[in-house]
Amino acid sequence: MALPNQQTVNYPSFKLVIVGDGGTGKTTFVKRHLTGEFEKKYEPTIGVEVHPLDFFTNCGKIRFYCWDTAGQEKFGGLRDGYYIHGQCAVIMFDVTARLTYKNVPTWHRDLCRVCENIPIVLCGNKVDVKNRQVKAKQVTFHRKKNLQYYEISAKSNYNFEKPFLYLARKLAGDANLHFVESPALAPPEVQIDMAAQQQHEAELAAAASQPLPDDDDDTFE
Amino acid sequence: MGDSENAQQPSKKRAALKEISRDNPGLDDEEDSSALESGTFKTASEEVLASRRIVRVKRRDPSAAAPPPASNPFAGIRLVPTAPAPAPAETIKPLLDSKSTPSEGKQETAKDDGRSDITKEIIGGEKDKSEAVDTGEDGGAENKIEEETNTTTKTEDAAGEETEKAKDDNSNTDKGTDSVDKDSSADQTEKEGKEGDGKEDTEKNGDSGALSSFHQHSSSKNAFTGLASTGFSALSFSFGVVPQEGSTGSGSGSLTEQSSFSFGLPNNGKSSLFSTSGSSSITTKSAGTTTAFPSKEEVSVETGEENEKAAFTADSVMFEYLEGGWKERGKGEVKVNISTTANRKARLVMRSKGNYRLILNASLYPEMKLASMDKKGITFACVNSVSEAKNGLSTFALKFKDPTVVEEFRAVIEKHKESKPAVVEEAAAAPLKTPENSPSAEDA
Repeated sequence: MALPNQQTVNYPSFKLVIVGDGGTGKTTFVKRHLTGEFEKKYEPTIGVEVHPLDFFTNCGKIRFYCWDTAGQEKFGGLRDGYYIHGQCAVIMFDVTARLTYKNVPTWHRDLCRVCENIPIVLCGNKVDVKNRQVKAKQVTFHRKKNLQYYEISAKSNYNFEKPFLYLARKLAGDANLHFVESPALAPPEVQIDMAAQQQHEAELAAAASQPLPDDDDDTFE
Repeated sequence: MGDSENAQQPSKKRAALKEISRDNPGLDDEEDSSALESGTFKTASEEVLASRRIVRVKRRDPSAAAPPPASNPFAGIRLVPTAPAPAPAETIKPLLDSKSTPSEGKQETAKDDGRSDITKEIIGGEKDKSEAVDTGEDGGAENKIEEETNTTTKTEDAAGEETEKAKDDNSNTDKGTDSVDKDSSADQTEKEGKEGDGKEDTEKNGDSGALSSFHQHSSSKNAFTGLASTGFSALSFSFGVVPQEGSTGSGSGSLTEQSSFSFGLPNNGKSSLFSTSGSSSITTKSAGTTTAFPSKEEVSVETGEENEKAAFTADSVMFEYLEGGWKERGKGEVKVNISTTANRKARLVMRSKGNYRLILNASLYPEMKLASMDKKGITFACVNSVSEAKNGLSTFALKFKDPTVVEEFRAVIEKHKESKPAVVEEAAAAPLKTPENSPSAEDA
């Protein structure tokens, strides 16, 4: 599953394919897990980007190789060629754009053509947006296909770990699997270099004057 | 010439794709043929009706009904499911020949669960199909149809219970409940042992699903995907409905036996580990390459904070200052941990909520400076062991719920950043920079 330049790991790893229309938030979703960042800029993914994503569970550490595929057709690259040997999948749509939900069956069909029998999660992203176009009640596709559905928000982190949790459970065959705190080993002792310290004072001052990004203060509910 | 050829080829390619897509090359052919020759098949259709009904179950295109009759193999197969049990064969013939016979079929259906489902669906299918076919034809055929319809209703009553059960099954599967999980897990373990063996899996699946009767039917029968699908649809409707032509349907003729199960699987997507013949090649293989999920046994979980006490905890959002701007690193609970061992070292630990990923892990140090930011924010520099690349100091900021928490945080940091063992302070007086002298080396 890993790309040639990615080292293999000695714990379970799975190829996770993420599909869905362009702009639904696949890359942002992955990036959110990867770095914690919430990317507001839209830069269409070209072809595919593969990121390893590790989770600690009560059954040990696991890794998802997230194949973050291009949603836009013109950047599709190999398209369903990326699905080969996929072991689980996420189909993403945008609850603020009805068309992206309408295309879900197509993504699902293409996916199932290549990967039979893999656990799939349907994700309605951007549920933090006030006036959504696809209401929760209108999402019915997953029932027909026996998929798991989650409403998520990459912006507010609402349910953002649920898709991975579901897939991990399915892949492990253990419904009680859950994520656990990743271990925090003792950090290195800090050795302050005076010069570096000086230099850093400057940056600190600059940083302090730079306002923190203002998310709508819904962070602490 | 060349252009015309090119123009035609794409369509051919598409057709080929569908066939390749899997299991139903036959179906595609049938559909095509049906579209072309729909008129001609009427007579054959009645004979084959029973068998085709199965296809009907899908209900997608009424027009498709015609094709199945075309495939003679079907006629032979028709009641193969019934072959073990004579009843179904009887039901079919009666339909064709006399009106009275249907009742027999009905009785028999009542006796046998699996059969009843099948027969019922068959009948239903017949009806649909016959209608579709007959519309073009004569009134005479219609009479038969009506009779058949009656039978259908009766049979349905008989089979009502079965259907309910099937629904229950569906609901279970829909929820993705524990039972499914268990099944899949069981399969997984088994699969680890013997990966390639689709048949064995299927059998086990059948048993676990309590569908064994169905399994027998489907397996015993024919090359017909349609039949298999019917059997299943009776069990759980989603199965029958779902089949997306190529993709879901596992069952080309050869596959049918195993396909019986794969039908359920593709829809669920529940147990990736289920390997049935069609899919097994993929799943198994992939499982082979990657490490299979080890065991369901719990692993002892260590947070790395076992010998520490939190002197401060609060929900927060962490940012890192990069290239002149703040990048969010995560939301979660930030802690100031004090070691309970002799050295009393203090560190900052923060994990993001939900996935519990470690995003901040940094020692406090005596020179650490804290700077307040506009409303609710505080910034400082530290060496975060989580960020792999750079080892030096980076600037972070924490945003708290309200300013009082910020002050609390500041107080705790100020208090503990100096609270290192005396050894350290001595060392601090001496040049700190070489690892050999550093307290950490000694402590460790």
